[in-house]
Amino acid sequence: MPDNVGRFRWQKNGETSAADLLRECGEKLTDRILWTKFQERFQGLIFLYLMRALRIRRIQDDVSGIVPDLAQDVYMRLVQNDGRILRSFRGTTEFSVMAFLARISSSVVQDYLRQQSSEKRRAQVIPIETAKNGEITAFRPVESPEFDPNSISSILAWIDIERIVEGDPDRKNARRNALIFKLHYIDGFEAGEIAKFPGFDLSKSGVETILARLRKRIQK
Amino acid sequence: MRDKDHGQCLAEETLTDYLEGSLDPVIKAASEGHLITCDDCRRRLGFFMQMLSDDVNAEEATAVKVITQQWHNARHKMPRRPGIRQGRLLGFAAIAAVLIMAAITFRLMEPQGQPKSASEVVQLLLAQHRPFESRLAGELHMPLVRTRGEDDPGVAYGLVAGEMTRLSADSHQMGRFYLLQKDFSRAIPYLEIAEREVGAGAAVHNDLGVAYLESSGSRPEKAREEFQHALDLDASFAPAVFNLALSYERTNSLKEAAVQWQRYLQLDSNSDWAREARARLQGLSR
Repeated sequence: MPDNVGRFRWQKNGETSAADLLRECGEKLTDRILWTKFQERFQGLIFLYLMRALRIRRIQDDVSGIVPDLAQDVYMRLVQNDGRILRSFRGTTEFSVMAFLARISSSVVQDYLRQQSSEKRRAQVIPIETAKNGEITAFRPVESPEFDPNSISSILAWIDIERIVEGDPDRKNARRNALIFKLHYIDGFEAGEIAKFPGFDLSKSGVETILARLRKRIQK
Repeated sequence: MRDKDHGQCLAEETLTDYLEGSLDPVIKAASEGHLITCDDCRRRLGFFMQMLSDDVNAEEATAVKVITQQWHNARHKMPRRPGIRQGRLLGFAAIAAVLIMAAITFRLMEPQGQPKSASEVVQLLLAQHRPFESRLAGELHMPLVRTRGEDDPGVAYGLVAGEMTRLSADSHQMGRFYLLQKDFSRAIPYLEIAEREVGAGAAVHNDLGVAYLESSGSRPEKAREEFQHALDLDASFAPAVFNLALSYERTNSLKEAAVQWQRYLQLDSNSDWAREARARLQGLSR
């Protein structure tokens, strides 16, 4: 892992928290020392998120040639309007900082792609890849071993998701469980990937148990 | 966006807050109800799950390392257009860029002379050389050394870009900054944003007009609309009249060009710009 991706993860003792550093940068837009710290801690992440946003949207070009340009746009967004976006940041955790940078990076990539596609439209050229891919999606192929990928959509089409939710004995988490089910079987996320997010409040085996239980009920 | 049965689609912030587990329980439950029925929102949630995954694979790690290295080595050099006289011009441009960078860096490092705003940085750059025949707002007169055209690579101020960012450059100044480098693909979007902002003045319209006029697929009609817009806002805004005259010249509308040069000389009869306007007017009558 590159240094400044890693450095973000492990905050040094006595160092300003990521959230505070972000806010401080918004208040002192011309403070070189502060911005150097920002760069040391977050620049690697910005590069990573831009790269991922391009790849998820299936941009096959040499992303290392595009990312520095887009990173500059990310910095622009952060400081424009007197750093409003930075000053309005209300998060307190490292995750909230990562999510904040990921949202900005994603929006910069979206604008970049919009601009690219409008230029292509102007030239009246429709690349075959764009036509094939259709609208930008974050879909991943379903590689679930339990169901045949070709029949998954038809199976899910007749599953009454509301019924699954209502019939779940875990009343409190029924909707979350149904969401996990869809994230796994439709969107292709593995149990371990889902469990990594604190919002689901589950371990990998917890996710697996839910998937197994719901699968059994549906098969009945 | 509205899902027909399950309410409002979720904002990106709600999606990432959901992943973080920081949503209020009521909002969390409502979001889950929406996410299981709205495929679009669930896809967007999946997008952020992929974005925020803390598994950095070897390929990603190498790419980030390479990009970081590039960034530190050159702090983001601007791409230059290829041209017929590319080699020689690039050589001159490189030398010029180094000299200009030294001057700018000196100014930036010197406490008393430090530009306090992005507009001062642009003004400082504008004082180094004249990028176009046409005239940007606030541009001091300088003789035109380069000719316009595809073979002119422009000068890249990659190292100054960071300063622009730190000085909170607005869309107009960013547009001017890229326009100075003849990086029209960046300059025009910035200037178009600036033009749409409330209170956009004559200077913004003038500079956008210059970008349209000087870009490789020159759009004199669109440029003229912008110059006219600038003059609607400020009838005595001399650069717009200067550029209007020039745009007519470029399309061989010599009569209209002459009218505009005369109009210019009524607004400004003594400056170096006026001398240039007079010479052009005389040139038309030959």
